[in-house]
Amino acid sequence: MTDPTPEENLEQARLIGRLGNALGAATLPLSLAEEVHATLVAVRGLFRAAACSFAQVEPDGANLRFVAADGAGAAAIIGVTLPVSRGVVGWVALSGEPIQISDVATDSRFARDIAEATDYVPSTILAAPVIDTHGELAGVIEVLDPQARGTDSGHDLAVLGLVAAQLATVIRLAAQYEALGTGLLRSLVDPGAEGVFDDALAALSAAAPGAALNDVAAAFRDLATSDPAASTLAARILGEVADFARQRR
Amino acid sequence: MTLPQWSAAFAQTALVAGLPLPGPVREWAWGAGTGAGVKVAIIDSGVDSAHPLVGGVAGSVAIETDPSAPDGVRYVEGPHEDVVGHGTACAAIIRSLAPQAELYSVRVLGANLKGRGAAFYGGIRWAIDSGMQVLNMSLSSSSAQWYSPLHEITDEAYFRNACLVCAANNLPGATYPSQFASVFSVAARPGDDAESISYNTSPPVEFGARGLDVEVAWTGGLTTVASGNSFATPHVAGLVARILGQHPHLTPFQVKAVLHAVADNAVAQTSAQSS
Repeated sequence: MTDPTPEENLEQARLIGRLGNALGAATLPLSLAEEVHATLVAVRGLFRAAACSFAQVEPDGANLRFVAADGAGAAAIIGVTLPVSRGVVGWVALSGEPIQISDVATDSRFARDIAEATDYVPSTILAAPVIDTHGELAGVIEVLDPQARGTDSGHDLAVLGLVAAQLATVIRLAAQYEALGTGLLRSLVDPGAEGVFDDALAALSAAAPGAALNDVAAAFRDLATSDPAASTLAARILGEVADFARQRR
Repeated sequence: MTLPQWSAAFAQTALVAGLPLPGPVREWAWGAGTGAGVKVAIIDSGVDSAHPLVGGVAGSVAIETDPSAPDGVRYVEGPHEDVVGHGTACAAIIRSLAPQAELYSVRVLGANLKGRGAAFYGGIRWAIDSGMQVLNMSLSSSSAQWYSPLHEITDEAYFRNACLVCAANNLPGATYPSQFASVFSVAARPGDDAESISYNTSPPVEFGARGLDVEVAWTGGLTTVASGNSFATPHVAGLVARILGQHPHLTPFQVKAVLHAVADNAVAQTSAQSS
């Protein structure tokens, strides 16, 4: 038996990475959207607010897209995209500073922006930036018309700042789950993230087979979390596939 | 879990030993000063110079991303609008405290989040080179990539006698330039007195000022009520402008010492205490 060539080693690494990424996608407790929504439900309850939403920075850096919301106007706002130069979310995104604004409805421009997006015009908005691990803006969390208030506005902004930090952690963990194989390989083989191995890992995300595997893994996760019978079915299918693979070797 | 700096910092403010300025200390520090002759840069989203609470600006420059330029930005001088209203709110607060200061709008926030660090750097660069004495930055960056360049240019501002007044960020983790020792780092605290400040004995946030439920200038010539460190910062910037108007030769570290001495929680240090 001859030693594997460097190309064969790289192919093995890619395969292991893809399997690891698929494993992460399959074992992610909740999808990112579900995790963020659960956070927003809790925040809305904490402030007894009319609504709570999270707008994520689009890759172009010019727009924010509402990816999750709870409460008044939630169904209408999810999927809405706003330029970063508009609205209170844009103010927070650009300045990087949390704020609370009262009497929002007195400004016709802001009121129109918000109403177009949510079908709900609040009088008070609390908003804070969500910063990722690299210090870049991931998005903005917004609370509309909070009724349960602290001793002063500063307390409310401090609480929302902590929530924003927790939300950033949720986003980071979800990203790590989805790149589980890549992360494991890097930490085991190339902790310094240097050299040719990194190139092989970089190819993982672009590789179509990996993406397909992730889709299958995500489908299994959905199946396994839907109800006990479906979970049993998912486990049985995986077992059968594993047996089949062993017989083929 | 620990509350962010700004919330806890001014809840139980310890006494500090301030310089024994001739009393009453506020009278000595700024008195009836108007900030006349002092140049103040508002490094922000632009300033609506037509807003009645702003009362015009002496000059404007927009820092725009330009990958082909040596600094990665180009400097576009001339009138511009405020893209979101943030800078207008800050300018009006400074005007209310230092009515005769020369306000300059330095727009570093635009229609895209990319390039913010380069624009921040360029805005401070323009302000230093243009002889601004007070720089108001009610914004912050957490970008690790910009830690070093912003540190370098804030040091340069300090050594060239420019007082850089920065909003702290009430989020866990470091933010720049407010984290640096050479700047005046400001957080909001309760209270209605626009000329009242606190010194925080647990830095990096050094000063607390009015910034909660403040009536601020808003878009369309209107006003609204807002809270945040963004609005505490221009209160300190306005007071710094008035101090420099009365005492033009003070350096940033001397101005800091004056603010420290006039803080609500300062007790004038006597020779007996200092010995």
